[in-house]
Parts: sequence; C-alpha cells; structure tokens
Amino acid sequence: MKFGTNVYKFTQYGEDLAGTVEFIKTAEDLGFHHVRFLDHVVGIIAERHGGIMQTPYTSQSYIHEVFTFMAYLAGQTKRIRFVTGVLILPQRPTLLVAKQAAEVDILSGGRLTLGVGVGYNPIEFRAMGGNFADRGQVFEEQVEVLRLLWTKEDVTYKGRFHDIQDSCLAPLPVQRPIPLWFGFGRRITPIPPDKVLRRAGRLADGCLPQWLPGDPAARIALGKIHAAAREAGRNPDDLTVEMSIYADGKDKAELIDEVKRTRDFGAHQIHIRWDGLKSVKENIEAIKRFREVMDAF
Amino acid sequence: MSFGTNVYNFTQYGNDVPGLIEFVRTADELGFHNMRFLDHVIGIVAEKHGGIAQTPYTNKSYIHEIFTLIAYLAALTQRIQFVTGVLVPTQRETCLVAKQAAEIDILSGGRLRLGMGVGYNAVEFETLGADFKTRGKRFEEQVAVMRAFWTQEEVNYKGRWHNIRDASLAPLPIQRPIPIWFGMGRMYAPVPSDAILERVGRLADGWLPMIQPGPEGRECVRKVHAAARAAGRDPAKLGMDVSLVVADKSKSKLIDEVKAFRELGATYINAYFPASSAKGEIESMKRFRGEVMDSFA
Repeated sequence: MKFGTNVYKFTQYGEDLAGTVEFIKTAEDLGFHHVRFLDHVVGIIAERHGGIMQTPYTSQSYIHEVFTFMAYLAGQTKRIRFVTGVLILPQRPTLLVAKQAAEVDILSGGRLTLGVGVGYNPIEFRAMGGNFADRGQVFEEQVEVLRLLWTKEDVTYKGRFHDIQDSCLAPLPVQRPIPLWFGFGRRITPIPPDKVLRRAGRLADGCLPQWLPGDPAARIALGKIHAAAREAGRNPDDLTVEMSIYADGKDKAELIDEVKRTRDFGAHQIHIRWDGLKSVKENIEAIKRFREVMDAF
Repeated sequence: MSFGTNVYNFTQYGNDVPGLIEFVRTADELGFHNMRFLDHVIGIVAEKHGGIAQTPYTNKSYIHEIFTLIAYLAALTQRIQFVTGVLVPTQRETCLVAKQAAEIDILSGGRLRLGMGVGYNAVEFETLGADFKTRGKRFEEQVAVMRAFWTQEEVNYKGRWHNIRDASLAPLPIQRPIPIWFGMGRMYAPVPSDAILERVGRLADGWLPMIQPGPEGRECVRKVHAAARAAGRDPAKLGMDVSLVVADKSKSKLIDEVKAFRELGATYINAYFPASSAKGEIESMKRFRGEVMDSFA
C-alpha cells in the first residue's frame, strides 16, 4: 500500500516557506510515496460574488502557485512524488500546462502525477479568460492534447478548442506520458454525476474520489467507472484509485482497520489527511505518528 | 556597472541539467548580478510552416520552461537575480503570469526581474490560441493588470481583454511591484520601431535593447527618454541592460566596449559567451570575471 499526504492546511498558516519545505522533506524521509498540492491562481473575494460554491480557500488563503512550487521542491527532494490535487485544467491554457508539467517532470526525474479536475468557480474562470460553460468538453480535448504533446515529436491536432499544426515540446518529459488522474466530487457531495464517472473510466490513468469506503453509493459509482473503462476497451484494473482517510482523533488500531477497509473497497493508494491541525509543527508530528500505521503495511 | 550573463546557448547542449545548474551556481558564486533565461512554450517544426520569422530556436532546441526552471534554481542559489529575457506574456494568460512571477519572487527572496516582449512568431501565437495582430495593445493591458495584482489586495479591472472583479493574489510578491523591463530587437536587427521605444519610455521600469554604441543607439536612447519625459517620468530612473558579445575579443577591446555602453547609458551588461558546452561556458565566465568585471569593480 502506498501512502500520501498533502499541504492543503498550509494555506492557513501564512508565510512559512521553510516550514513547508521541512514538512515535505520529513514526509519523504518517513517513506511517504507522494504529497498533494492544490491549485488556485487568483483568490476571489467570495462575499462580493453571489451564488458561488463554498470553498475552504478564500482570497486570504496563502496559496503557492502549483507548478513553480513543485519545481522549487524538485531540487530539494529525491524520491517523493508530487501530485496536483487537483489542477483546474480548463482554466489554464493547454500547451502551457503541457510544457510546465513536462518541465517539472524533467527537473524531478519523473516524479509528477497530474491530478486534474474541471473546476467549480466561474469567477476564477472569468478572471483567467476560461470557458466555464464548456469546461467538461474543453477538459476532454485537453487530456487528448496533453498526451499527444508528451509522447510525439510532431503534433497536429484540430478540435473544437485547439488548433495545433506541426508543433512539439522539446524536451519531452521523462514519463511519456505523465499520468493523468481525475479528481471529482466534494467532501459533502462525494458522488459526481454519471458523465464525470464515465469520463474517468474512459480517459483517466487514475482517480482521486472524495468518497469513503462505508458509502454504498461509492460502490455503485466505482462500478460505473469500471463499466465505462470496459466499454472503452480498457482494463479497469489498470485504473489506479486513491482514496482519503481523515485521521483526526483516531488511534493506531482504528487507522489500520480503516486502511484495510479502504483497500478492500478497491483503493490502491491512501491519502492521509487531518482537519484539525493548526501549525506546520503539528503537521510534522502527525505524519511522524502515522508512520507506525504505514509500517503495518 | 553590473554584469550578467545568460543560458541561451544551453538550448544546444541537450539534456544537461547538471551542467546548467553548475553554470548558474558558478555565476552566483563569482558575483554575476543576474542570469537571463529565454521563453518558448512550444517548438514549431519550422520547415512545415512557410514565412515565419527567422529564429535560432527550432523544434529540436532543448528549451526549459522559463518559470518552472527559475523556481527550481531559486532553491539552489543565494544572490543572483533571475531575468526573463524575454518572456512573451501575450502568448500567456495574464493572471497566471502574475501568479507565477509572484511565486518565483517569493521563493527566491525577491530576486526576479521580469523582462517581457511582444513576441514575433505568428505560428507560435496561432498554436497557443493567442491573437498576433493585437499583441502590442494587449501587452499594455497586461502590464497594468500585473502591476495591480502585485500591489493591491483587491483587483478590479475591466479592459478590452481582461474582466477581473474582486480578485487578488495571495500571497503578494516580495517586490511590490516586480520590476518589468521591456525587451526588443534582435542581434542582427537591433533598432526597434518608434512605437516600441515610446512604450518603453511611457511604461517600463527598464529596457533590454540589442542596440550598440553609436549614432543609431544614441537615437534610440533619445527617443526613449523623450517618451519618458512626455509621460511625466524621470528618464534617469529607467534601467538599461545591453548585450555584449564576448566572442574571442581581447581584454582591452571588451573593456572599451563596456565603457562605450556605459557612455550610451547602460546600467547593466549582459555577456554572451561563445557556444561550446557547460564546461566551456564556465571557463569563459571565469575568464570574463577576471579580465573585465574586476576592471569595473
């Protein structure tokens, strides 16, 4: 079983770059397989915009830009993988995503997994000139274009949203292609629409759902992903599933039991997270304590 | 007089990231003030596209993505300033440029100078989904939007190409704002149009011309200064970073050229060493430091 964690809570701790780097280096030393990073380019002053979805990230959240931050960390780490959790793909220009992801992959020696989602904030999309209404379709084209650019030395592609003639990335990334994992759902509403599940089955290398193993609807949703994979001529077993465990207040035995249940549900990787941590120091202590759970696997 | 150099020739050396790191670190240790990086997001298979501007960079050039490479190097250096030489923002989305530049400024402790130009390769623009014809006007809006994001906690901007409401970057960069210098001209065609010179005087914090000492160069400087005064700005505050081709010139010839550039009004010299290898360029750099830089210390 592979275990990952994240730096999501660090958005609340203000400016502590050294502490963030120490946390990630500690996670690497402890044997964590990966760390997740979040993506928001602009903060939206939410109270001025009616009708947008609630989010834990506000205009005051301290958010590192995801690609440059991973690049910065690449030279200071050796083994730990970097996972965008998730990159809001349709609000960024496709070719720049391809180029920056390839560069991070090269600088890290092939340690990037690109978690991608369609996004939910129309104000952020508008600020960035993105197409919010068509974001699902834009996203599907983007996935296709990214994989072409990461594997071919001469790319021509004409779609509804892309027009590329005899172009290429040089250098190509180390991983050809870089794995694309789809993130979807929210913690309070973890089951996404069927079209999102089908899209993951058809196109994703892995997925990062928000559901928990005890939820009967999750079992059905995973079944839909696998069915769509089979329909598309793919082997559902090749689709990696990473699920989250919330570790607050749970002892070693409870956590081991929860990892087992999550594994038995069908997860290949575990993303461990805590809601209640208040500082960099508490995060470092939490991952150190969790090490004994990892050792049991 | 401050001296910098660049990594432009490294596009010819293939996959030599360790050599590139050693070159940049050596420059940092030798007291070079700054290092320039180049920007191309996509390679164009030139022989399949008729009528595009001549460029030394082809689809085979090994081009690191500029922001992620600088972020990576920020962690591995102490003092050297990073200069984009030049970034083409008109091929990129403005909020993302502002965010990534701010992130690098934070990660490097305020060591970024953003050199920007309007771009020249129409095929690149088309491939990236950017309008080539309007790039000059769009560039001017981008400069205004970026400076707003780097200095204000709440940005509202409605222009021809931007529609930003109650948005912000968090965190703000260390330099508020990050200096924006305009790049222009080519080694073989160094004199830019009057419109470009006027824009420098009106809007830039400094410029990166390819002009040489002599009547043509002086005329360009005169036009820039006149535009600055017309805009109510002090021309003496405009930085000027010029390019010096080192080739196999003697020590006394190089010193004479630096003096001539100084008389022209240059505040920075960028040294172009002959293309060879990472090792060869490091030797050139050490020699230049001893023969030329020390004469102006």
